[in-house]
Amino acid sequence: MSAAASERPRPITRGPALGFGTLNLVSAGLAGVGVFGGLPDRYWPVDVTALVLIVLLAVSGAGLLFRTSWSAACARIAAAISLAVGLALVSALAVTASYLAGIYGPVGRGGSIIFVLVLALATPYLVAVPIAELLWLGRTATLPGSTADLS
Amino acid sequence: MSAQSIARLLALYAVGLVVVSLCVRGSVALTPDPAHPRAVVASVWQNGALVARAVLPAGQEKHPSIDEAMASPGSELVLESSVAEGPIVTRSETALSISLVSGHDGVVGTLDGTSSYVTPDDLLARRAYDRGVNILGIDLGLGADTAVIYALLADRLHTTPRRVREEAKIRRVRFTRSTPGRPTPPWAHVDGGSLTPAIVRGAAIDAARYLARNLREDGHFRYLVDAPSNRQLGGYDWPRHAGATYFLAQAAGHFHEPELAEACLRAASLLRNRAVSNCGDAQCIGTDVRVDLGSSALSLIAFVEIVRTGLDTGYFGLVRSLSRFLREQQRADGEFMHEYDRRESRPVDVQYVYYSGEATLALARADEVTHDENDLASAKRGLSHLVRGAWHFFGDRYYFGEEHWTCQAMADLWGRSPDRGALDFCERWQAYGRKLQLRAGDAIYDADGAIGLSSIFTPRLTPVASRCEAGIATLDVLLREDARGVEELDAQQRRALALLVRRQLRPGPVAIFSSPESVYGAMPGSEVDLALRIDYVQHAGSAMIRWLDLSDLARDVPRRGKEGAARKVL
Repeated sequence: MSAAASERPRPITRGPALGFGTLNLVSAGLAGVGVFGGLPDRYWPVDVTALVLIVLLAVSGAGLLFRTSWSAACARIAAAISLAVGLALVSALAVTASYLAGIYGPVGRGGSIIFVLVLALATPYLVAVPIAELLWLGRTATLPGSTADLS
Repeated sequence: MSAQSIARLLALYAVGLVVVSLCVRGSVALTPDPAHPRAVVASVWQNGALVARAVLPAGQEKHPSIDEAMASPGSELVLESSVAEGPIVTRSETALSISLVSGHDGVVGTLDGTSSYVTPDDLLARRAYDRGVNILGIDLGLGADTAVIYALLADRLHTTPRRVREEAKIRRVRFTRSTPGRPTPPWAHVDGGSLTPAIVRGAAIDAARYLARNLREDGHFRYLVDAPSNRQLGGYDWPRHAGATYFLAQAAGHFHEPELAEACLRAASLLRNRAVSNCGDAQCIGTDVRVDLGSSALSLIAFVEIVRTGLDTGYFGLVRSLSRFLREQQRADGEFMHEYDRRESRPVDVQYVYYSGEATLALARADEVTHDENDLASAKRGLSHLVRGAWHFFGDRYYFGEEHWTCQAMADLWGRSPDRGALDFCERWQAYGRKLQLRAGDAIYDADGAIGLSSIFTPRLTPVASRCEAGIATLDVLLREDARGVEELDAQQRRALALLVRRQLRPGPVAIFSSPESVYGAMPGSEVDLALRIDYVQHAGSAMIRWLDLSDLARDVPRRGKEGAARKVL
């Protein structure tokens, strides 16, 4: 196999497309429930960010499930924004915890557990899945539609 | 993007985040140095009002204005030493609000080259700590009142709060407080190990005397009092009135003070004359169309105590009638219906927190004076439901409600009808509480014996007191059974009681009180919540008396051949 052939992007395959499509839809649902169901008050920076994320994740999830021609580009944007939001959330939590620890001293075992649990809840959907999706999309630039896509 | 480049970026991000977090923490953390204060804020208070203040440089102890103010009678000198200072975020009101450790931190504001302090006493006197903040719609019970901070700084810097907010440089200051003219009482530093019956006895008497002193001629308590101003705040309810009456009966029976007995009977007669209604064939407490079960249950507990201790056996008839009402509110499965509709003459099958436990305890106690097997049977069914049917779900071993009445009922019934399942339930609840119990050093607050998840929140004292009542009841049963677990349960209750003794206003921060003698013996909501509600002191006082009774029991245990158990408690 030549070097050019080995570097050629592989097509989107059915299994990963179904998997990531489903994960994106689940993430969209969880973000909706978490922000619009869980938070008792409305605050536009949080609400707008969540809304953009939910729409992108839902559209890209549906696109991947039906393997539309635009699904790869949309999924890439959704994953990048999800990752950015996820890292921003992790940063905000870490800096807030550091500030409170500076003011009050150690936040205590209970406080630490709460911070870790919030991180553990958000990290899979907003950090791990987007990274995995970006890695997968990085190797599968071919749009679906060819017979090779159906492998 | 390749895996390697993502890994590199993530590693960079992680390192950057750790560095930023450490920098943030380091920039706001304080390193107090009490041996070398930066300045001492000397304040003279009279009748709860600040009359003179001077900022003394470190090492200086005198100031003419302070000396002059101290010459007036009734003056109280407080020295608040600035032992550390650091930056805080002031752009956001919420950030500023949560940037002060309640009761320990104040601020220094600088504007146009002039600086002024707002000290913890300034904020305590205005009850400006723990006013609550709202973050993304979630209410948190912490945070200083920023409007008060800005107003005080503006007043002292001779400008407007708006200008302070927009232009002043505000820094956090950690203070330590001392009162040179008023040495701390010996119980101010008591802990679980040094707690003695004599110390607890003094605290319990003062708690009862506080309630007796704050009972009006017509039998109403001063229900909620703002300690600094000694003003009565709004609100009143019969369940808490009844609970306070019960504690007075307990205290009168224990200490044999005529003033306590007189106050107890005055409070009880208000219930009898003003709050008793007909609920079907029985009598109940409450005059609204819908009455709640809790008022009748706690009133029954109070009346039983009055009859049992011989204060006034004339309440026996009301005991029988109220116990009948409670029995008629009970369902076949042991649960109670928590409301009664007097217009339609029928129980309303709704449930609220506490009431089922209160009704169960009330019936258990009623049986002691009525000797009516129906009362005993109802109490047993109520207890069985509380510890089984009412609290049975996946995860019930990891989460508990407020069970302080339940476990007192368990102990009360033990001699007549021991319920091993209920004892196991109460032991598990206490073990759960032990996990949440803070130790000295866990937080900057007076934390040893408190219950809390995090050092950010000032521990509330009433949950400590009510759980302690139940813990001592459970300990009582373990002692009688010479069962395992006595030592750790005893240590847990001792630490809780010691905290209550330390935080009780005996005398508390006298300087900021307009009438220290009026609030002497009261129990605050927390070390910074100086609103005094009657149930705060009731739960604490009842726990203390219960522990004193248990100490007496433990002294008697050797005579009953259980020396081991007695030694563990004494």
